[in-house]
Amino acid sequence: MEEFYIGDPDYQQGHWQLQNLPDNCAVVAQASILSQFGFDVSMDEATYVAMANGWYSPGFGTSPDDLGNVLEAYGVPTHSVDFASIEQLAAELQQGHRVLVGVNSGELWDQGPMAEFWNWFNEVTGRDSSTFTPADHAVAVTGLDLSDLNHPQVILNDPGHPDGAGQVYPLDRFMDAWENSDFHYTSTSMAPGGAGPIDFDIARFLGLGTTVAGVSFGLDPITADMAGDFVNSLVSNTDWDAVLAAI
Amino acid sequence: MTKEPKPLPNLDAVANLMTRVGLFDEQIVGKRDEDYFSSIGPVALGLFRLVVIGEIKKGKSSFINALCGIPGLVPVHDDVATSTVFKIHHAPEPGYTVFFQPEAEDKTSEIGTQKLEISEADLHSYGTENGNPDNEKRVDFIAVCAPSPILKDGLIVVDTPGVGGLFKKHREITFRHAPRADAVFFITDSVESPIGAAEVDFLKELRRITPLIYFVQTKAAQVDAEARRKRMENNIGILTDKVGLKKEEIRYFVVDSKLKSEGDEDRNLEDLEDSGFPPLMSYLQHSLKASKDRNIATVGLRRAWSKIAEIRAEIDRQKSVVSADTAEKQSAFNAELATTEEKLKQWNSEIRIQLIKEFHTEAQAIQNDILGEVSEALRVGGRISEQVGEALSESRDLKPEEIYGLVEPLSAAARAEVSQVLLECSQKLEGRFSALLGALSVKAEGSIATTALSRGVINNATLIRFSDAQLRDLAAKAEESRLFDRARTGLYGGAAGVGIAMGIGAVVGSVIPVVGTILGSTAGMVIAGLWGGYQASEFSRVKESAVARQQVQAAIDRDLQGCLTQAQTGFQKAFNTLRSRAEEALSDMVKTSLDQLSNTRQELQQRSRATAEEVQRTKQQIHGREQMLAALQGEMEAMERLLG
Repeated sequence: MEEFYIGDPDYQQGHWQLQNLPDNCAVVAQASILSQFGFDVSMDEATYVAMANGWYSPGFGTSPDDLGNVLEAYGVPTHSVDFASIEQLAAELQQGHRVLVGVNSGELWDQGPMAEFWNWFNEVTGRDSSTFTPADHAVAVTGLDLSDLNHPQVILNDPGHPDGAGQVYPLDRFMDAWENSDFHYTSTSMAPGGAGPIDFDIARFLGLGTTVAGVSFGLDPITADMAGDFVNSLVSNTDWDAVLAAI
Repeated sequence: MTKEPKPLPNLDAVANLMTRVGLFDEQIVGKRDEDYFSSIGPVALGLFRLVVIGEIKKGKSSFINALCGIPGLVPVHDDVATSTVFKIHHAPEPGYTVFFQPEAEDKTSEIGTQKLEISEADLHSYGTENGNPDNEKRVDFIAVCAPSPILKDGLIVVDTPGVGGLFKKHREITFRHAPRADAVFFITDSVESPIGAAEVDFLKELRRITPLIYFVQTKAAQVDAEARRKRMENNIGILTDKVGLKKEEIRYFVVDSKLKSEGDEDRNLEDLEDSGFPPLMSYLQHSLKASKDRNIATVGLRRAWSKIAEIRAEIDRQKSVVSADTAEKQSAFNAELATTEEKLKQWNSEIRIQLIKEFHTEAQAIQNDILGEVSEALRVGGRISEQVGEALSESRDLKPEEIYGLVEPLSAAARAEVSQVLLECSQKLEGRFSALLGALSVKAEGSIATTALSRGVINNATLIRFSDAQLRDLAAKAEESRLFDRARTGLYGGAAGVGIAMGIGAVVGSVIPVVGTILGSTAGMVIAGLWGGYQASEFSRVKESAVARQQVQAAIDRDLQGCLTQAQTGFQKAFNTLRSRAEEALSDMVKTSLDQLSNTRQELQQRSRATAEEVQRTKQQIHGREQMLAALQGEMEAMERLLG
């Protein structure tokens, strides 16, 4: 069977780090990405920066709202999408971007009877899983393995798992866990030096017909990435003289 | 990640979605809706204005430097008191720019037109009482560019000069900035005295302007844990008993700026935790800013929904063209098009003029109402003037010098009221103009671009530049003349008393020699002199008090009159700009509708020439767009659910 990947999981695997505090997964995941951008940032330093700015609180962790702020603090531009589709996520990977998502760790790690039960319970009672069993963990999505289109897989760098470098999960299981963050992702708006767009015809991927949040559609020609660039340019071109004079 | 309650959609995600909606619209319509895209800016920036206030030497500037993580960002030396406002925002490189007040005769010019970039070394000359006493260099504010991560999400920190003590005039600067603040941090410390009477008065006044006051006790590490806890309890007691705050509503943080800065230097987590900053930063990010972000997100999504409706209408129009697939249908469609075109031309020549007329009438009514309200509050003898008069009438028993001493607090209170009135009026103005244009949009069965309409107009209308010259002169004159006048009056009164006593003594002495001797004696003359002096002095004091009250009232009235003139000019200018922009918007709406019709006609002509294959392709394209629209709508609906 022909191997078929989106993203560069092998390269990213070498930058994986295991979190050193019970709840600094998001911070460590960002530190791992920073190292790919050439920054020598230790986990402790990243944790300090996050804590000093209110993006990490011991005992509470990092709010999904603040995912990406440590990257931004070091000058790596990011953009965020709520209620994203797997196609949007794939498009980011295809651009060589580094992608962080919020997941429910229980649903990702322990697909035992209890997790199955809660999934079933949420579904039949119409509960919003992001409220009832919200995301409690951050991981980096490093690639999609589409070698077998009938059984697509998602490859993660998981800072919360001792063997978290390049962990492979079935797409459905990943989607179940991701749903609990309202399909939130934060992506860098650029690829690390040397990692260019990956040569892959993403149209093939669309053959999956993946349905997310009740919407099935072709690849968005107006990507979140394009919109992210626009939003970043709006912020950097702000006329601060006018803003400050009006305050 | 976190186990906290589910967060709101982040503003970056909202701005991203709004942008995709705008780009999709651009793809379909063929041109960019600049008005729509300009509405994404405020969402992307997510501005949050944090105003830091407090008495001098409480560590405000050190607190700000620690908050931003940049030592020396604003001056903090022990012998230096901040004299102007520092507005700190994010930029990749540090830098300072002084913005000057316009010259007195140039009151109509925009703030911010005169500016000067300075180095950190020059900050002292422009931003402190020592370097710029009494703001003789007419500094309006100093903009500070800071490469601080905390400011990246749109946080702007406003450092105000210390209030109280010798710097009562700084109150007015604070009151100018507090109404627009998203949060006010009131700084007190662990070392000096607890919150004092002057601060209590100040806080009471401040509460009338904004409820968003939070308390920060600095210099925590300079005392032991027990002492800082007691200080905190003491302060909270004062805030509840004297200021009237409810204990459960008080948000109070104890921090040490020095410890935070030391922690920043060597990335020491222990120092950071001990500094008390993490809970404050977390509260700032997740409570204060999140609540502001919710409002920004709601406004942004509302704007995106109206764009979605426009896209839906355009797709429907394209569908109707492509589905006119028989000669009969095309002919009917053409007829309908001609009728619509005719109607629109008529609309342009008649209805538009009628709408503009209606707009002018209503705009005039809004203008009259707003100016009437401003005038009623600010004119001589108006509401604020009356309040000053009432306060003065309660000071009948005060000595003249005490009455002169009321100039500063009364004018500060009056100016705070002026700021409040202008803020309320500008909000009303914006609201009523938006409502008017909304109503006209409905009548016109179209969409008027309203976002850019009031941009930069209304804020400028309410910017008042207070002049301290008259009040200062009055206070100084009173100070100089007070002692001399009282001495002179006492002297004259005493002399008159002695004269009267001597005259009476002589008359009585001629009849009753002993009594006359006593009365005529030196002691008698002294007693009588003192009595006479007191009476004359008392008479003079009452008279002087009345004069003082009149002078204070007159000075504040003149101040109010100056504000009124500026406000009238500002609002008038705003009205004129709004009028001309609204007319442009109405004309644009007609042009857009005519363009749409022209496009439809063109597409119809092309359609009649197109092959079956091309038609099929166009249908598929429209179907794809419908799917795209549905996807965007799905994301919007989900986000709205999150907002509640």
